[in-house]
Amino acid sequence: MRLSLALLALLLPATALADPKDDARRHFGAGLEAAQRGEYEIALQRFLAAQNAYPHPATLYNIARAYADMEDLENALAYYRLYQDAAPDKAGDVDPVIQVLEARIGQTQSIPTGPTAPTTGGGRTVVVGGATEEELARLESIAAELQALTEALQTRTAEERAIAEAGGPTGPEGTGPDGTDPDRPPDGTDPDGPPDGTNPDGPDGTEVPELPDAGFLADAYEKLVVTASRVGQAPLDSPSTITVLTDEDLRLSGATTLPDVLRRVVGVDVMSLSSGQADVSIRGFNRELANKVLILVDGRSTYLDFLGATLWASIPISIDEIDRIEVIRGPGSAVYGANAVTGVINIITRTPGAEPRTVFRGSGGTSGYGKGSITTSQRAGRTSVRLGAAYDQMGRWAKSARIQDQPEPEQSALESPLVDDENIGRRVLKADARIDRSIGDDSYVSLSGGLARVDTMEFFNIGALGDYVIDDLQHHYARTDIGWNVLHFRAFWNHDQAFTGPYAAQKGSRDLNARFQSDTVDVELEAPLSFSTGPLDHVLNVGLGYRRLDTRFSYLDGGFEQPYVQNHFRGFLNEELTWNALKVVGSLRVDKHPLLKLQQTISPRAAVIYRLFDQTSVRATAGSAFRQPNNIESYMDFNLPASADGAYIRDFGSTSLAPEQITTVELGVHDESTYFHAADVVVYYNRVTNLIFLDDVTPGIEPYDPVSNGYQAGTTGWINQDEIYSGYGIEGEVELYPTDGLDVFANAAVSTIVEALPDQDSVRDGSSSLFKLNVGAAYRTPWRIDLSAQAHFVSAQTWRLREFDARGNLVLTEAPIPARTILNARVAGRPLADDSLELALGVWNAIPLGGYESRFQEHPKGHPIGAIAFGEVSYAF
Amino acid sequence: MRSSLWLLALVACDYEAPVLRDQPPVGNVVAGELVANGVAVPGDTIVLVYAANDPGPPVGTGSPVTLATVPAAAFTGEGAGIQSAPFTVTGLPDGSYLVQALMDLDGDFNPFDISVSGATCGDVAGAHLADLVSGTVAPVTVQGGENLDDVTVVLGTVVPIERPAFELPGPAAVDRQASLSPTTPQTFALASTAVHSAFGLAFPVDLPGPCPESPAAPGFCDLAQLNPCDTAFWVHVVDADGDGLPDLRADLPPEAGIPNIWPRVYLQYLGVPNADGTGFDPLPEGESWSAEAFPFLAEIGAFAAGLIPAPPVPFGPTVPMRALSVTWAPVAKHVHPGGAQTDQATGEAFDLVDLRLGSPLDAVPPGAWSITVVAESGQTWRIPNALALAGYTSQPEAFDPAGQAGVLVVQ
Repeated sequence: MRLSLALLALLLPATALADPKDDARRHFGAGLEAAQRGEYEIALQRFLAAQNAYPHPATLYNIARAYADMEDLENALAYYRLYQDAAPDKAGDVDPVIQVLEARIGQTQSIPTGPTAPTTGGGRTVVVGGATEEELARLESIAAELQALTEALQTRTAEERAIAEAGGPTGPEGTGPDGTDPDRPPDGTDPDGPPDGTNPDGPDGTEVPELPDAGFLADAYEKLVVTASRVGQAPLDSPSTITVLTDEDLRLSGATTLPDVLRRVVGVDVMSLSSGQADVSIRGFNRELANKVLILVDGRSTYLDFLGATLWASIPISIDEIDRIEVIRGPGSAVYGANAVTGVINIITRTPGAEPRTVFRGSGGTSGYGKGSITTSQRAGRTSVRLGAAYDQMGRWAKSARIQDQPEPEQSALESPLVDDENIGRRVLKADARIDRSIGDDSYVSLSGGLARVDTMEFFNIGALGDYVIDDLQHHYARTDIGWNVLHFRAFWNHDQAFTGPYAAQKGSRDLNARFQSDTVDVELEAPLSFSTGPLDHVLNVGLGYRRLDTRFSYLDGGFEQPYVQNHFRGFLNEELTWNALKVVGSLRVDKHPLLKLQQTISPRAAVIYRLFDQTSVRATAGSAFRQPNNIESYMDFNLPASADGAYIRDFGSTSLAPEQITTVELGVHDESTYFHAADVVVYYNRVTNLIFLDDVTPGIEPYDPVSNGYQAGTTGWINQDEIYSGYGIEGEVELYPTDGLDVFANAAVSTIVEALPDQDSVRDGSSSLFKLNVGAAYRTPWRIDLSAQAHFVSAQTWRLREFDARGNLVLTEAPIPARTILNARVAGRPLADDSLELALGVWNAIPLGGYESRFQEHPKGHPIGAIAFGEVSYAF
Repeated sequence: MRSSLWLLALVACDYEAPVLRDQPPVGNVVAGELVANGVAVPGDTIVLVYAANDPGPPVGTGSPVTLATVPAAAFTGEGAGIQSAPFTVTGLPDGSYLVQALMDLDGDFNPFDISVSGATCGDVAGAHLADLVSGTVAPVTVQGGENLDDVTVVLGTVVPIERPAFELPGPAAVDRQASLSPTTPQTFALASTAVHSAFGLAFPVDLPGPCPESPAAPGFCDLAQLNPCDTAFWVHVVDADGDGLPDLRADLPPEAGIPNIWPRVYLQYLGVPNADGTGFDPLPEGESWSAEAFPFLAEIGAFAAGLIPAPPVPFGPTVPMRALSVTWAPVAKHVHPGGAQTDQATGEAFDLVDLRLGSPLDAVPPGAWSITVVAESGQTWRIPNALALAGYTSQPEAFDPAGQAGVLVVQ
């Protein structure tokens, strides 16, 4: 019992860490280096510290190995047994070792049940033999948690194996907790297992078996990403430029929304127009209702095809359910198809049961900010479950002076029929559930679903439509993933319906309120295969898919009663060929879109990755992507309001639009050559064509239209621009883990986009910033206090607004946006010894705390954004 | 710390968003009732709002600040008695306005082209009046995002004549240009014309005319065969004081000596025709030239001599004419790109000019000028207009679209 309790103490984290995996990785690496030098005692301390920071089976193995090398056979045996418990699929690999240890220990004494010497981990003394009754009582009280943690390790190991071998229980688009290399066992052990042997020099002078010399396991905490190629791989091997935000990055960021978390990613543009809306783009091309980045949740698209955007507020997950966010910069259509033009953001949720716990979290703050959530993740045998529910609200950054300030409401010219509370910009209630069950060694079933009810979401519409609100948005999804051997099947259904219209309309003006409903059904069958031909290792991933889009929208031709159904088909393959330090990646995806020509939707990608050193790689990648015209651009027939009540501009969609297309070439270097840093530098060139815009107004008059209650001043429509956009940039990022508890990051991007008609001089697109800088640090002190701060600087922009003048003509108006800086800070403390309770205070966008005058806009149409000072309490058990 | 958390939670629940500063002023709303008297079957009705300090034709030269429409179906009432419908005009900046209305009984109105943007013969006009006796149009004043909802607009005045559709006379399109000197006063002729065209896909423009010519007085209409809804120039020499001499224009400096004669003729600079003949090289944004020409009194002399009897129409002693000679002295108003000399806030949809803002020039810029005729009834016509564009269905026996392409060229 004492041995188990001591190990339990090792497994329990002493502190809630800023990013414990980083610390664990650093200690683990230092331990390996010490072991290579034969300094086994130092190695042992490092491995213990790593295990203390973030438990891992391979770390247990190395701890056992270090004890063995130090001739502490009892502890070695104990840790080998823990390793067997944590990695049951590898238990047999160490049976010969355990047999030897038992034999050798048996020649000297009885077989122990736990460590017998004091050890330390993470700077914390561990109680071992000789504990007092009081200490034992305390340790016994948490004995159950040892079992839970052991189960968690087992779960994670099983899940990682499943993901590695099959693309994950939640689908091949990267939904597992880490994602791993399918060729490598998740704990990094040698598949052949430790060799057997004997040692003729037993401690008692008798011939005893020799300990197998299997060495140390190389890497227990390798960073793995899955979004770049749908299979787990190290960032060093990624064919695309990728940044990973961990759950701890989210927790400590001080950000109140997912888009705000993304501000720290180099090359990502985040623009908040209202408290309900933030638009995210990558490497430029941001706009109201940004449409060139594909947002995935566990590989499930959240893109609303009828609108061409993602409504972040309707994503039905809370922060405690997120394991990490992977951000791909660069075209992703070769892997994910349409709309992954300048990048892919994949929000990867925690695997159910991987870390059994229940978390209550509540936040409240200024600017009408309030949030509450409960999440629980549990496991029973082969079945694991995760449940979550959350409430989220945010006040409006600003409101019109006229809506409520009139002495008598009827005297005001404005009204907001879709809005219950004009002080609210976002109010969301959401819940989700997922249940996973593994079947045998190589099969699984996963079912999940969620819903979000967005009571209010203010956003700024494209063009002249201005300040809008979404009311009563109901987002539902259901999903299933089935894995059987190498085959993986995934299906999901997204449903969205809502009312939308101007946030505030003048009384008696034309009713622009609308209704939409969107149903997306997507099925996909995928088969990742791993094999070798001579010296070449292959990872081949092939798949087929189908998507059905069924949308209705009041602004489309025929109105809400007219459904628009599209059937999309796709096929894809991704081959990764590895020969020593060289990897070549070829990807090809073909989408069959009902309105597009096949040659317009072929998306290739090619990449060469070469490991200059063990932890340093260079990559050259070229690829293309496309954005399919959304339903508004294809089917719209709506009379846009002009400046006069009795006039309108008729806006036609076009079914002959070409997709927006991008071709990218980039060259990057990724370096993790020390355990104290990770760095990446990339230069890129983007060529973007066929951007879809509203055309100039063509005069054309028609008789009075009673539906629009006005006269047509002209017509316009969606066209592909002739302009060619060229984007150039360099992005650099570095993360430092200099010492326990301290994480520092800094990144910068210098980029420009120029547009030109063929054979004409080019003009810089001023809506993209020339320079962006993000810096931040998180420090978890030894006193159960966590400190973090971040700063995001964006240089000045000049936007060209497209609006109709008094005569209905489309005009471009230049509007400058000054440079801006967003400062966030957070301090958190955990007063209870078991770290179950956390109290935090934070501020997002601290500068406007100085008052309204220090607010700033991020878009000429947007509200001046304010500050949020907030408090947060969470309790986990 | 826990108490702080509760405090913050309460703050979140009791939040009031700050008022948006530096926002564009919230437009005001003017609403009320349209009241039509004696209209058997109401038509779609257009509410036109003019700035009070820049009224529209014929009182002023302003163009509507905004417009709203009220469908015929919105009118309720009994038969030919009083019928009413609610109307709302939104987005009005702070200020005073004149609210006028036009019931488009024949369904040929559209505000966005001069050829179909006015009342046609038989339409019903109205306004928000100070009182029904004097018929004085009363301004309404709104400010601060106000919802003024008790404005009554009375529709009762039937427009008895047709718009003054015209063209520059000549046998071919290339001759439809009246060349002028940039420095010397010149006289040019306008010829009344019919218009028969399907505008767009299914939008009729059907203006009969011109009036039959008087055998005794060329250029004048034959009153014996005159249909008031024929197109014509209804000429009125105003002699309000009855001294037998034309009054002088009250809106122009007396020293200019300009007699008060209807219709008015206004000119708007279009620019230099471009090389391919498809349009005009535009002026710098914000710059414009405008001018006025005046009916030639020698022709009016025939009316003054009693050769032509005065027709019984509501506009006093007016004379319908098939042709009109006008004289343009090289006087024009130049609005600079920076906006000097302009009250552009009132708009300029009808290309009218207030000579009070103008100044004599040694020369007017060479290039093409459009011509707009404004009748005393407030009805207008301008060339060139959209009826000259290709694609419109025309009836050649009655109407030559090329005639609507004419411009005045200063060389």
